[in-house]
Amino acid sequence: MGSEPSGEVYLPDSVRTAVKVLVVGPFAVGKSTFVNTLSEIEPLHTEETMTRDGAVVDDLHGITDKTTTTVALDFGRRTLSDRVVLYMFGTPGQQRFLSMWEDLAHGALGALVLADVARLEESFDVISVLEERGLPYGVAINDFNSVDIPSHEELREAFDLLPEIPLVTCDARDRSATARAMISLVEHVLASPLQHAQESA
Amino acid sequence: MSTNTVRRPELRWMLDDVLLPEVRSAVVLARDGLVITATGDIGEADADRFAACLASLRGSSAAATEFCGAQPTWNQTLIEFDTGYIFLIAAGPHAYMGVSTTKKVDMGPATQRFHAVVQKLGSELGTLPRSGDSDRS
Repeated sequence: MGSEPSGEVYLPDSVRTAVKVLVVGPFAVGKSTFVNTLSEIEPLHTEETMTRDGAVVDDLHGITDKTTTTVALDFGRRTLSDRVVLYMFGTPGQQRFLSMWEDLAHGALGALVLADVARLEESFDVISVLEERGLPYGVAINDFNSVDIPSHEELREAFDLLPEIPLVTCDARDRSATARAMISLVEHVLASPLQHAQESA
Repeated sequence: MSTNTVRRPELRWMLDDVLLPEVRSAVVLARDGLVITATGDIGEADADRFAACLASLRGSSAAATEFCGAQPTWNQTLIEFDTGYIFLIAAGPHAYMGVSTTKKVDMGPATQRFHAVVQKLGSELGTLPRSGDSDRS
C-alpha cells in the first residue's frame, strides 16, 4: 500500500454518493495517463513490461516509446463536488482481456471511451460492447499528439454518435481537461433515461 | 440516479474476528469493487485501492473458471508473497473479503476463522438493501 497514514486523503463526511465509471478504449490510447492525471489519491496501476511476443499481438504500429501495458486495472478516485465522488476503473485495452472487462464493468454507471484521433476505428469495438450493455458513455478524443483534430461534426459522424452523447477533445495529461471530460460524462449519466431502466431491473 | 455501494462503517465490528495475530488489515468490498467496510488500520484511500485491486483479482479469477473442470464456482483466491499472503474470499453472492497477513500467520486456523467471518458477513449483507447493485450480469 505504501503511502503514509499522515498523507491520506480523507473524504469529507458529506461525501456519500459514489459513482463508478469505466475508462475504456483501445491499446495505448492513454487510459492509465487519464486516470493518473485525474485521481486525487495515488492511483493503482497494474502494468507489465511488454514482451516482444506481445508486441506482435498488440499492434505497436505508430506507437512509440511504449514499454508497459495495463494487464488488469487502473484505479483512481476524484471528488467532483460536495456530493459526488468518482471511482474510475480503467480496463485493459486489448481484446483478449474482455472476459475480465465484463466483471469490472459490474455496477458501473457509465463509461468514458478514449479514442486516439489517428486510430478512431480502434474505439468502435468497445463502443459496441457498451451499447449492447446499455451503459451510458461519452467519447473523449485524446489529442496528446497534437495532430490536426477533425471538427466535432466529423468526429461525431465517424463514431455515428447520437446527439445526446457527449464528445470532447482532451489531453489526458491535463488535469482540468480530463475533469471536463469526466463531468460531461457524469452529466450525461445523470440525464440518461437508461439509468432508470437499470434501477428497476 | 442510482448510486454505487455505500460505505457501511457500522459493519466494521464484524471484522474484529479477522484480526488474529499476523493479520495486517481486511476490507469488505462489493462486486462493483467499492468498499463496504474495512479494518481501522488501513486508511480510506488505501482501502479504496485495495478493494479495486481485489475486484480485478476476482475478475481474473472468475475468468479462469473455464480452465478448471465443469462449471466451477469460485470460492477464494490466495496470493503468496515473500512478505505474506492475501486472501480473497466470497462473502455472500455480491461481496468479497480481502485479508492481508504476514508470512507468519497460522494458515489453518486463520483460514477457518476467515471463512466463519464471511459466512456471518454474507448473511448480514444479504439482508441489507443494496443501492445501485442490481445484478446485470
